[in-house]
Amino acid sequence: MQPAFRTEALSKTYGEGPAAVHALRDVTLEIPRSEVVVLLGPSGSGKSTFLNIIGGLDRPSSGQAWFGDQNLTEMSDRALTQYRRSHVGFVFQFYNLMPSLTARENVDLVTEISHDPMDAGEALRLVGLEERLDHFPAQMSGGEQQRVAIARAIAKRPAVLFCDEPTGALDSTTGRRVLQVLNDVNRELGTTVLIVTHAAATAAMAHRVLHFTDGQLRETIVNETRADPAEIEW
Amino acid sequence: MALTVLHRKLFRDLWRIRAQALAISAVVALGVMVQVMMAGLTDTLTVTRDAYFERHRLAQVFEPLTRAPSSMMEQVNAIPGVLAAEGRISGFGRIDADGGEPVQARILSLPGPAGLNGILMTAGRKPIAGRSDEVVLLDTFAAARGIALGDTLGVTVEGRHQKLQVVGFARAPEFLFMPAPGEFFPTDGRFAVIWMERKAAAAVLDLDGAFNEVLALTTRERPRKAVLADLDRLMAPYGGGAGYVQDQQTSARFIEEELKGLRQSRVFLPPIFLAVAAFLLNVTITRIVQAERREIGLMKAFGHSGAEIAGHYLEMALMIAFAGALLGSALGVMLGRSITGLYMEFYKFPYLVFSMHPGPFAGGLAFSLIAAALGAAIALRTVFRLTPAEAMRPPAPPDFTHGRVGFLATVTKVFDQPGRMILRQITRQPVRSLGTVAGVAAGLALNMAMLMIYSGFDHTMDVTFGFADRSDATVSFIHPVSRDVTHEIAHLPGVLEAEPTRYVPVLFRNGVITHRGELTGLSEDAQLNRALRPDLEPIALPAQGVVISRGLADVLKLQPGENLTAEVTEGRKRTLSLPVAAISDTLLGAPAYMRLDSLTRAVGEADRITSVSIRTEGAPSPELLHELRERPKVAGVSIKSDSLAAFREIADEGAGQMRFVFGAIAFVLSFGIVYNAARNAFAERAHELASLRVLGFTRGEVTLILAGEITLLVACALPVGIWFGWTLAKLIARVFSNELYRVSVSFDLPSIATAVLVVVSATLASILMLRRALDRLNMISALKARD
Repeated sequence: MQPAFRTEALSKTYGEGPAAVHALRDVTLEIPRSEVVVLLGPSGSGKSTFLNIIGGLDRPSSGQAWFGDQNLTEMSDRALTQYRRSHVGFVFQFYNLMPSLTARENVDLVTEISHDPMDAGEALRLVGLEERLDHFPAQMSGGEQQRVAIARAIAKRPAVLFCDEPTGALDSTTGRRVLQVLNDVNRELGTTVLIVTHAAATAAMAHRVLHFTDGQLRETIVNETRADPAEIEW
Repeated sequence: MALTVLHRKLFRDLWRIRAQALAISAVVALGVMVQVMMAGLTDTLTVTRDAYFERHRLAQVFEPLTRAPSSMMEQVNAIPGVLAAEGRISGFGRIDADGGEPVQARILSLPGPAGLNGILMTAGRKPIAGRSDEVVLLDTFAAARGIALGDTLGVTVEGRHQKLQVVGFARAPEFLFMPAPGEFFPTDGRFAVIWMERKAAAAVLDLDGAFNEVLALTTRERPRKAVLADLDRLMAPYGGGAGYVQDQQTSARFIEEELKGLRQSRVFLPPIFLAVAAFLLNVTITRIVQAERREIGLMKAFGHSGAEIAGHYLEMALMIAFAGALLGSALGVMLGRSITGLYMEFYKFPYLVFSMHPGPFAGGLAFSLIAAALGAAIALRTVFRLTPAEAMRPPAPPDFTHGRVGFLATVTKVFDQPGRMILRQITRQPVRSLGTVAGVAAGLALNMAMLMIYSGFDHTMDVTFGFADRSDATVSFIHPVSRDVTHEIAHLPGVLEAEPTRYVPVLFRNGVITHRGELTGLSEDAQLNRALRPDLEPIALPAQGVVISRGLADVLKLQPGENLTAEVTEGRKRTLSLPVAAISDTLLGAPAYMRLDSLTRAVGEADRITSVSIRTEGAPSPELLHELRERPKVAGVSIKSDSLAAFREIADEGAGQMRFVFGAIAFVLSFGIVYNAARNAFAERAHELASLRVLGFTRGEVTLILAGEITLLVACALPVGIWFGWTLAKLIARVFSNELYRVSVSFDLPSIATAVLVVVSATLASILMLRRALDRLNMISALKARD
């Protein structure tokens, strides 16, 4: 089966000359479909830069990246917007909900521009928020807001879900609940889930763990057995 | 030390928001500019007028008479309160230019030893004593007619043809604004004054050893009106008794009316701009304070007091206002000078005493700083309330729960998600949204009102010269002539229709209110000169009574059914009591119409007329003009198309320029508001917009969400602005209307469309500028940023 993503010698440099920062150096890897992949590493290790490039938010300085058979590095801005719109869901550390829209409307914001979305209510049921459909972000806890963000990301049935520090702003109980939801999405919808995190314990729930240091992929670990997110301690 | 750092921050912050700061400064600048310009204009005009009147000793009391012996001047000088007096000789003659229409000319004796109603020689010299054929001519007339020094004028006075040599040109404060007799606007080529040696003037007007007008200056101790009353009594046996004071003199009166209008608009225009600037500063400082919560918390944690930090942001507002006030002052002086120049030209002031008091500058500066401080102070209340710990935590998401039920919620449901975001954003901050709407509406209204006033001017011309006065030319006579002359003129070459008119100079009186004017007698079936109803249908003149114009009704505070007293100031000087039958919608002048037969009977001069209006085939022909020149009793012929064209030229020059100035002001005001609103919305929601981009919204879709909010606000502002503009136009029309000229405004669609177009272009310009900012929006930072 064709992998979800494939990269070849992917590099990203910010700035020039002696002040240049090499955020990503020659990363070559494959990410199979329908896996939960955790990207681990300290600050500045390049994991977010990698995520941004394969998420269609940034462009590499050199190297190639494919989504299925589409070469992301050759896409125009417009094509990248289309790619994000159709195939990719994002979950951010700070939720990034529209404060002026209710939970259901935040999800509809995405379903209105998607081809074959699920119903907003169904997406919110999947994350356990069927009781909070008509609440505004200001009326919800951080964990609830993050689950709305996940519902929004999965409602368009994306092939991939990118999560950048999804539990970073949450306490451990709420964080576990959010990871549980991500796990459910992967299991029930077959969505490839990429999670960028500092929290090494999260690695236990992944099919595959990518360790980044100094902009390079140091190690790839494939878990024989995966832990249930409810058991994760951090 | 800390202050220095804060100042550095202040300058960097100002640089960061420079586009917005500039837009706000521009609005402040407009307010101060209008204030300084209007102040400079009114002060300069007032000071120049006063200096001109004083230097040339314009009389404070005028007493026209029939004839009084020179010896009477002793008694005039003995009247208490008379500082200086002079008896002069005044009459009318006719200048016959070859081929052209005859022009009525005022003939005056040169100022005497007391120098009253002095003249300013602009070229040549005064006549040599004993040379009765040498004259000084009004320079504007000479220039318009191409008359040079040394030229000979053919002048008919009292039926006698004279050859007079022009040896000098002059102008005089008495003739700053002087329409030719029977005309409404001063036209250089249509109004002439000839000054002659006293003896020569007396000779041509048959006034040897006599005078027919008293001019007097009064002391401060005695009111002018009291001196006038004594003079009226003294001169009654000599055909006097209908004197007037300087304020009632045509030229002095018109310029005073104009100054009154300017002074009034100076009061209500600048505050509009300053209120808008205060609002903009409030919104912008609020936004900056919200964005800098963390910095504020940090500064507080370091030990800065709330007042110190508030002072920092206040300084920012004050600097923006200060820069605007400086710019406004400079622009105000420049614009003031150029507009003053236009006024100078219009009023024929020979020199200009440019006057700029520090008051308007200081006032403009003070008011803009106060407005800025007020705008900022309201925003800065939050700085005092914020505790450091609270400030350094991210703020809770803004609460949008207000609109969940009720009408608004129902309306909102109709829209898609971006539509809902726009609506909720607007309704969540109603004060700010209303402020934006009000500000944009104000810009629209100002421009629209000015455009309406100018198109109202066109309307006035159309009504007056298309409906009320439909003649092509008016032939006027020096003394009243028999009505039969009408028939004679009707048979001249090219004349299609001729109608008689009788003008009788009177002093109108209603209780204590008086007004110098004239009664206009029209024939029963008059077609060329008519009193009109507001719907432009003619009013049939009643057999008894008078139809007065709206202007006169306003001055005298008269209603239909009441009685108007008219004291005739010539001939037998009868006093008439006339019932007011109707009020006509006359826009130019303040006439009072009567049936010709009733009027002439009432004044005791049956069937005597003073002018004949004619309609001609095409323009009046040279043959016709020649025939009229051959008739010594004809005082002058005024050709309507000529005077209209000349006046339009003057008006387009002045009004045309002002139109652009107000268009530019409206654009800057609208742009300042719209751009600020859009910029603030963008700054507050950059994070949201970037998130939308990440979610797969295109640049166009994101632009639409941002533009949608501002577009909706502007759309709301349009009807409000149109209503406000219409109200403002009516207000300005009232302020600038006087009995000489009524400013009429109508709900004029081209004016509205133009004003709307200016606002729409300002909105588009703002959106385009934002689009550039949106293109630079960094999606990745949005992912990382907390909100």
